[in-house]
Amino acid sequence: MTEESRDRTEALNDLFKEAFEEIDPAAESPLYGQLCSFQERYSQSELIAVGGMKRILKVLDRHGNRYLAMARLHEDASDLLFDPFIREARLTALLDHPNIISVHDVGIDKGGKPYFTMDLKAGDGLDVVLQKALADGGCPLSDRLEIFLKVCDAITYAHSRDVIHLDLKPANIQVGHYGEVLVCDWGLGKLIGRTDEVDDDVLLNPDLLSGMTVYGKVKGTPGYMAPEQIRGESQDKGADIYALGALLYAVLTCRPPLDGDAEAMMKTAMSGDIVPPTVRGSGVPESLSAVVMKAMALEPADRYGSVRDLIREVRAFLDGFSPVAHKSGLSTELLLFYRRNRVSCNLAAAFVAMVVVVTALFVDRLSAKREQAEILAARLRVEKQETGTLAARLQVEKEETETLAARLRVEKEDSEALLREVGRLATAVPDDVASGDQFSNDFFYQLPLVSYELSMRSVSEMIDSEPERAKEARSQLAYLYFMSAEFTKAKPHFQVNPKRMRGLAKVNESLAGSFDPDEHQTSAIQLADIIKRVQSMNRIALAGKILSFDYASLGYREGYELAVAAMFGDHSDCFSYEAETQTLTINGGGKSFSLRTKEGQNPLRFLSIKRLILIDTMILNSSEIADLKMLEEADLRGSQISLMGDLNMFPQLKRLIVRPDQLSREEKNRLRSLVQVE
Amino acid sequence: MSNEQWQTRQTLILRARDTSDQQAWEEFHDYYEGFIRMVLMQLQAPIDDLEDLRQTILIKLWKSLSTMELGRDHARFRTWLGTVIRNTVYTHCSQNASRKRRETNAAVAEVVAPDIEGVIESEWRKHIIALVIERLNASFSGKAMKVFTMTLDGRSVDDIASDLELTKDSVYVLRNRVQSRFRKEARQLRSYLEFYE
Repeated sequence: MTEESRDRTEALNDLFKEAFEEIDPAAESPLYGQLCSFQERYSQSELIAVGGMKRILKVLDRHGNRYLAMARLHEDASDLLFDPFIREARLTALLDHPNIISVHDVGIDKGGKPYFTMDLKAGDGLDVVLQKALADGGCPLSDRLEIFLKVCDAITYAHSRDVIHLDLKPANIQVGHYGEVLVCDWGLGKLIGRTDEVDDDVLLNPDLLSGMTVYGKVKGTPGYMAPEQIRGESQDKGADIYALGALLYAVLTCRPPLDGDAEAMMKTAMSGDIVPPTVRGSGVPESLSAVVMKAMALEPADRYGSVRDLIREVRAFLDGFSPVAHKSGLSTELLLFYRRNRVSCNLAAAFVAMVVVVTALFVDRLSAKREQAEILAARLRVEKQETGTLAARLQVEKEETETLAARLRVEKEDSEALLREVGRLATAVPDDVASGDQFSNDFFYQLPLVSYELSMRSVSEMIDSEPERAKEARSQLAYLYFMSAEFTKAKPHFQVNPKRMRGLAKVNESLAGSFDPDEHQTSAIQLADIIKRVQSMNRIALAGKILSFDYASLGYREGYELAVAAMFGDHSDCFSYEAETQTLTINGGGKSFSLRTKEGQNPLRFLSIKRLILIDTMILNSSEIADLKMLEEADLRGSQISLMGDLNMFPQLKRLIVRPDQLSREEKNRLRSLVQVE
Repeated sequence: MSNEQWQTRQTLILRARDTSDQQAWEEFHDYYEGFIRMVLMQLQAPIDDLEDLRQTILIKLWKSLSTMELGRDHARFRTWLGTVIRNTVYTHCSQNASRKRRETNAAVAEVVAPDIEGVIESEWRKHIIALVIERLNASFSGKAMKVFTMTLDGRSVDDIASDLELTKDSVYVLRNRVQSRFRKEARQLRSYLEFYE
């Protein structure tokens, strides 16, 4: 075994032995030992305040190892004050509230004097706080009101335990640095409505009071004391409410509620002639001033019924409502409502504004729409009327149309009848020309080509559909081909029925050999020759048709006047036409003949005549020359015409040459306004 | 075996009165085996019979526990231990006497030496200290144990502080804490192993 391990074993053995020896608790628990050793619990006392009845010292509580406030009576205090002092301590100890100072220990010191210890809080009395606030505006009103409310809470609690304070004033309220508020100095406090009322009576004996006035203090503090308290009447919670009102006064104005010396203050308090806080302090809310005045009412019955009511009023103010005591008008209420609900109000206002704007716009647009609608309606009414008129007109027109349609139907039937007639007539072999052609003449002369075509078709149909009448039809066909100067085509058809139209067949025979219209068209001279031949056979109607057809199909050609003149047979020499000046001269030679054919046709219309000169004719009527639409100048001296009739028949007529006595004066005057008459 | 079990459980001796408690027996075996071996070696019991003797003693102790009245007396526990061990060793030696009478006489004379209680006491103390140190090692940091052993070696607080780079206050605190724990553990362990209650 080495030296070291032997030492160690020794030490361990010692330690082992120690474990089973008697243990000194002080050595094991130093604090316990410490506590056991203390002779004096409190030490290091240091005076911090002197009150009317007692001194407050700062002491070290060695048991709790902390600093406390210790209350002691003055050194020379009467023994009679021992009990009130202890009573205060016990009364305070009875109250367990965060805003009421707590009592830790109540006892008798070595000298036989009573003492009690309380919380020691860093901070100032409310009186100091208010002075500072007045000096540099340190503590804002809202903070001061919060302090006041905590005091109210404490008093509410005390009242609930039937304890009244009776000496509430700023100096008795301790304000910590972190918002702690402690109501101190319950020295004047008392229990009410309890069986130990007897004790209070004992306490209030005159000797005791005189003992207290030794220190120059009345029971309570002027300015915060209720009038009934000054008078020494029975005191109740109302006195505390009065004091709270006075405290609120001080909190609002940062000044004591009453001015002057104690005597004057008491007098003022008794009279209830208190200057409202609004008068003495600047920026004091009207509503809270009203609260103060109500709480400090002269008669307890006029004050708030409980501290709770007072709290409610101040809270109402802090929350932006108006206290009941303040007879606020509607405007104040509205202002307060706005203040408490600033955000909501602003939002609501914005919303309402938006709604109004939107509604206005909407209404505006609506009215605009209505105007438009009215205009539209008016227009619609007009249009409806118009439509009505139109409908009426349409009705009329419809009726007219129907009438027209009816007429057209009739006309159609007529024309159909006419067509049928044409067909029938055309197909009828015109043996007896004078009577046979009579019906269809007007139609043929108006529309020669159409008539021809229709006749051609009906004849062709007849050949196909009615073979038994083929012969007759073929004769008709020969006639039609002859009319159109297609003699070669006509020739075979003439031969089908050689007994009929023998004269025409002979002429056709000779003409078919002389020229072929398929190879070169018929000249005016040839046409005149054909017309002459037909005329010589006294087939005047056929000649007129040939001329009409030719004119319609081939038109005017040089020398056409010969063809036209040929129509007049023996009198053809009387006509001379000058194509350059479009002048037709008719020299009647004193013979009487008409310019019209038997069918009423005027062959002269196939010539373009601007100037007409009549020489020695027997023409009596202007209708003889009525078809000359182109006529511009007419020399009627060689005629027997005395009335021109309707000048519309000569739309181009400008100059009229007559013998001086030829026209009556009336006729001459009538004509003069229209044409030049010589 | 943890500290908690210690405090909550009945003492081992009390449990051992129920001879059918197998767990208690095993625990008893573990705790006493090494100690009895050391006592036997101190008594210079024949090496060949050491294991037999030890087992015999353990069983005898175990059995006698159910009838013994120990109470709270360290002295009585030691007396009981001493009596059982001595008697067993003596009986063992006399049984072998017929075979090796010559040698044994001397041995028995030594074995039954009157200071057997002294041997038991010192061995038991060593045994308990070893168990406590074991426990301290399990529950304290290396630094605290170092402070403890250096203190045991007689080193000064300043010395330890500079050696372990600790403040003097820390050395004091650690030392006191381990020492106080040592005392507590020793007391508890002895109660556990020696007392009925």
